[in-house]
Amino acid sequence: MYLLLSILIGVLFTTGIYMVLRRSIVKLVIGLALLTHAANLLIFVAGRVNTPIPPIIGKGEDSLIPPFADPIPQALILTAIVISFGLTSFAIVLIKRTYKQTGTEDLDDLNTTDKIEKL
Amino acid sequence: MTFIIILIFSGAFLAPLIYRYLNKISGWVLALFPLSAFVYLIYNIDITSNGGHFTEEFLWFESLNVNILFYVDGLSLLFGMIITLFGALIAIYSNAYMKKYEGVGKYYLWLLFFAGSMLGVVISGNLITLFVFWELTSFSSFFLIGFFNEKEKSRYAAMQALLVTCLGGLALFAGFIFIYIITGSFDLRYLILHSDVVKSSPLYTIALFLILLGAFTKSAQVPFHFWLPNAMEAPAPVSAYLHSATMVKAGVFLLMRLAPVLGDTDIWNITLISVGMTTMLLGAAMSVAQKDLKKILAYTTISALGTLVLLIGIGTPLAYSAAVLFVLSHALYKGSFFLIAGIVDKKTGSRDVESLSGLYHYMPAVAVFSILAALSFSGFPPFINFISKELSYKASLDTQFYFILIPIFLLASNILSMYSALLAGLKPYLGIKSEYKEKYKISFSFILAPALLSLGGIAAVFFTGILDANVISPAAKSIFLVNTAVEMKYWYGFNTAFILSLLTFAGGYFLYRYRDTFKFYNIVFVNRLAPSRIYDYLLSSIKLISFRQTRILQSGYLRYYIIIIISFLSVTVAAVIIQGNIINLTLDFRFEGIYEMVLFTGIMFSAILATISKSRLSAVVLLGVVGYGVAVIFVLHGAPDLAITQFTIETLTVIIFVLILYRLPKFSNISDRNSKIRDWIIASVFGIIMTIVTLAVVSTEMKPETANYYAEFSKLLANGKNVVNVILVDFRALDTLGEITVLAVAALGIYGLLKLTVKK
Repeated sequence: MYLLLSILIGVLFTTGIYMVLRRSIVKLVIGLALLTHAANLLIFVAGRVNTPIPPIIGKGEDSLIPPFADPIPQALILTAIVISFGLTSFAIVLIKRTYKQTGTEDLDDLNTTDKIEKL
Repeated sequence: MTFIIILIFSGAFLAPLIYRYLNKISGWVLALFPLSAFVYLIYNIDITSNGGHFTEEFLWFESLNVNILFYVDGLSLLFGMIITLFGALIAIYSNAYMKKYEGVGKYYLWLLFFAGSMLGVVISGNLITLFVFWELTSFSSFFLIGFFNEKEKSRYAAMQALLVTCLGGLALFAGFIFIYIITGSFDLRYLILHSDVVKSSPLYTIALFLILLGAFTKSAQVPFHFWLPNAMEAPAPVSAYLHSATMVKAGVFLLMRLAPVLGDTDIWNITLISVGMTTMLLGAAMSVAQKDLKKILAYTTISALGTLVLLIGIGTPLAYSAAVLFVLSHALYKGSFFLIAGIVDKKTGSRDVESLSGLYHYMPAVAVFSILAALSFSGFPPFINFISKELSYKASLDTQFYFILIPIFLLASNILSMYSALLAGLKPYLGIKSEYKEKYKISFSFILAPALLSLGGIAAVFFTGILDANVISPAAKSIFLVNTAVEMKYWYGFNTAFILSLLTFAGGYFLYRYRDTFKFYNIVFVNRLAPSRIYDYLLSSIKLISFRQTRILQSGYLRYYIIIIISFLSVTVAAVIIQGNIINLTLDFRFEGIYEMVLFTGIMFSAILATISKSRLSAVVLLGVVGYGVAVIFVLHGAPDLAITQFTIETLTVIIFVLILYRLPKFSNISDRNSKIRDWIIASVFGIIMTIVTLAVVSTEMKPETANYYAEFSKLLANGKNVVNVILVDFRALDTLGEITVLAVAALGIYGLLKLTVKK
């Protein structure tokens, strides 16, 4: 179980990192999305995945009765998903805008503002 | 004491206002600040004249033994009087000199700021207080030297002075810390009492050298002398104030101040004598090769500073008295000289001693005061400088170091200096008339300061007794700690010192008389190994190194930053992994079942395909598959909230992507094969490491306390059954508010980007 999940996380990180290393700006955003999934899964697995029972208090009870899935990583990931949605949407629109303005999707053409002049 | 420091600093901050509203007389008004400080010092002279001192202490950093401690004894008083009196005179002179420049308000600000800092240096009784004021003098002198900041030379000189003196300042600070390590105190009074502890410590040598480095850079000793001639780019009053009377003497002051703590060891005496002698002779020798009036003065000042260091190095009561007296007499004639050079420069537009001549006919008063200063410089009686020359000759004859080399060096440099004095003070005024305009009108505030200083050098004749008893002897006593019975007299009898004085006059006059034969102007001193060249070389090397390392670390390409970060992370985490047995091999490694196998493999394949897909649409769809797959994982492991959110968000992302996709560029294949392979390797290594990290994380023991808390109290405290929701909107509601804000800002940003129109 954990082995397979760990390999999945590893693959997601690999593909994500590979994509953010591309010069094409669209691939960069896809890479960011893949990295998001990798990170979310890592947090999820860190909270252990021992039970399919969600952390919801049953009818007539005052508190959760074990076993239940750890609610804390879930709360963290929920936040992360929403934030990363904001990030991805902004990035997509930014790319669109950048492309419209500059006519290029090559990151190497977009780095001139912080290039140091030769001494 | 605190009062006068605050007074001068408040004068500094009021200066721009005063200049603005009292433009024409602002120099006079501002002179009142240092002048009242001067009066205050005179008023308190009784306390120090009999060898006493007064202190004021304020708690500052008690735990570090650092207090603001003002300590005024004879030595502080002498320097304090010079600083405040000169401050006043310079302000008055500036009233005329700075008339036509921009930014004079700022000039006055820094001038008084400097005066306050310098005063702080000489009355500090705590090494840290002293250091702070010391740095403030460097700092304010940067602005004063660079006043004409539109000139490149001026900026260069200001930067050079700052770098050299601040380098020394750093060394000085380190030296003070060593002193603290040895004694556990920064308090001067304590240090003087325990000087044997300092001197017997193994750290003494290093502390001494660091402190000497600070003093030598500030006081322009060889090989750090080169900044001083360059600093002549400053306005004349700044040169007169900082570079003859006060700031360059801060190093000398420090040596005098610390002589009772660090002095009287062989290493102290020999270092000071060697450096002082070298500086004295080289300064004088270099001065004769100059044509520029201010450069001549700068090099002779270096020589004078060398003499002072030499005298402190000799370390006898006689030598200390000579040094103290020389501080005063040098300030008088050199200050006057610099101010007169300013007047000549201003009126004739030239500082070239070769071409200036016959100025007596155009500015007789200036000529008289200049000649007085030159005679004082040369050490003729009855000027006060005569006594200090006599005393220094006597002191140089009476030491066990360097056999008779010291008087010979002293004689040689005095002869050369006298030549320079005559050249700078006499030559421009005598001789044939040049084709200048009518008589120059020289305003009262222009001539007042040089007149007073020149006359002061001769007027002191009538007050030798008072001066000796109240100022010179108490100051010398602060250095030597016991009363020194050196009387200031004009006639010590027909002795060797007197013969040396006569030789000086003869030699100086001889050089001056036959100057056309010697043609000193032609001597070139600067060579490839000159310290100023080394400074330039070091500075450009530092720039080059930082440029190169910036080129490597700040390539400007996103992927290289990421590669550096990821590689660094991989290497460090891998090191930890290799070191320890961090994976618990008894974990549940079973595969859950065929469905999960299919799901996981599906996600992996989609992710990998997304990276190699050539079409944008299929990449986006594959990304969506990954997202939905992850959502299914959430469902399977008890996280329905996550799953719902993930499904929604994933759908929205795909929709946005597709909506915008056709406005986006097609996937282009820019990277070459090699960089793809490189990136795959970097990414795979990182992926493998993350897999191991995940396994390592689940191998640790789970602490359920926090989870249990929420499990127990969600319903009881927050009336919610869905624990994840309760955490988000109740227990951690503020975090969620922050999150919503982030989303709102992102939405605004997106709206802005979409609506933005850029005018071409």
